[in-house]
Amino acid sequence: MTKSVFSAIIAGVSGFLVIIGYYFPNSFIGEIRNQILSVAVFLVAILFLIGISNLLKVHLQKINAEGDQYFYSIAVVAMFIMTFVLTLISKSEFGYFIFNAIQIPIETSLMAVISFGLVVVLSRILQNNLSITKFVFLAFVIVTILMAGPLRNTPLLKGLLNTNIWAEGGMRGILIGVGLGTVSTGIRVLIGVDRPYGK
Amino acid sequence: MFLTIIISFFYRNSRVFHIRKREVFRRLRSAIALSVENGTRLHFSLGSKGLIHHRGMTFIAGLNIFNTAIGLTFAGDKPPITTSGDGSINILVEDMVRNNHQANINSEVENTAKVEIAGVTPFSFIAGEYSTCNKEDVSVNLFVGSFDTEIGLLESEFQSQDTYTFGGSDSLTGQAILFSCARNTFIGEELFAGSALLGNNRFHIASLHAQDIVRVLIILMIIGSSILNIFGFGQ
Repeated sequence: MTKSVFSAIIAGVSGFLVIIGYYFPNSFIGEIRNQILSVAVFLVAILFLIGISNLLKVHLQKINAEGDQYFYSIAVVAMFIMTFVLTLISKSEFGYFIFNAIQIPIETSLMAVISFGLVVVLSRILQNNLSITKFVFLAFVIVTILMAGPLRNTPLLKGLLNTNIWAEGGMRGILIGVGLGTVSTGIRVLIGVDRPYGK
Repeated sequence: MFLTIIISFFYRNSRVFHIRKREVFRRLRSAIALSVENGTRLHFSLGSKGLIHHRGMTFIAGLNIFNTAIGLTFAGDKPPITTSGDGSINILVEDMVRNNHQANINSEVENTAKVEIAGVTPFSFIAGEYSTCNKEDVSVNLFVGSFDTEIGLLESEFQSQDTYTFGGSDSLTGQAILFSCARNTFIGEELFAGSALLGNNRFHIASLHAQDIVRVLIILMIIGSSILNIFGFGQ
């Protein structure tokens, strides 16, 4: 109980100091804010190492366990060791090479796969689970695509089907909801109602 | 903040503050109950972004839903699997699982809940999620976090007839993709309202009401400023 209250006080006070320091960057509180953020950045670096070690542990467990997925885990562990050792030897040059020559092309290819996957998903909406909201969503997607291409210069359609206005209205509505949710969650953490750091 | 405190103070004895029920949360409760009954697992995914990320509050909201959901799963034979992409999330989730285990189960029984890091970048995270989603004993997949375009790679999981899959993101792109491919999606602020709608925490319910009041005020301000602009004020 005492530990819980102590943690809540540290979290709340640090949070409030960072917020106040944000508005008064050149004051004494602004300086405290910078110090708190420096500590946070240092902790994040340590947490990243903990994350990587957990990832390795999970894959080593998968290699030892019975199953058909161990090949992927062997690949992950082997690539990790290779990247770590070669980056250490080549003083980061190999790390940049891996990032530019392997990671970026793979992630770009995955983006292309996603676009194909989404086309399939849109076609499946028509086949099953077609609710009114999904129908409206699909109609807007089709009209937006048409307005961006072949029907772009049709004056009547341009006026009638100006989907940007409708889409931006909906987008703002959702963003207001998300923003309010974010603020209220933040407030709950600051006043100690939500304690993700344990009880 | 004051609205939340005031509403939570009056909430207990008032019938004025009743929360609106959402179908997706009723289905989530049913899915968790079914997984407990069938002796299968819940897979909870918190996304690859960390606590220090500017969208970190989404993770807190996800953690609140997880905290409520995990309480429902401890009655079953198999504890949940939780995946994330950040060390800070991993530590907090482990702590939360341990606390729930101590509160719900005899401390002599070993805690076998799994807390794993699936990948540290968005795409590697999704790649890591494949094997977890496809485990035989997983019957409910719950994705709550900051997911962007990469969530589209799990399209086949969302379409699967064998598992119940739920998804929610604070990103508009992520929400659009989830809406098109998932049967059960949390739209907009539903992600942040999850803990109030699933559980019975009076502060969470009060903050939901406070959000609604502020939302109405914002709507009135937008309409009012538009009317004033039409009549030439403020130009």
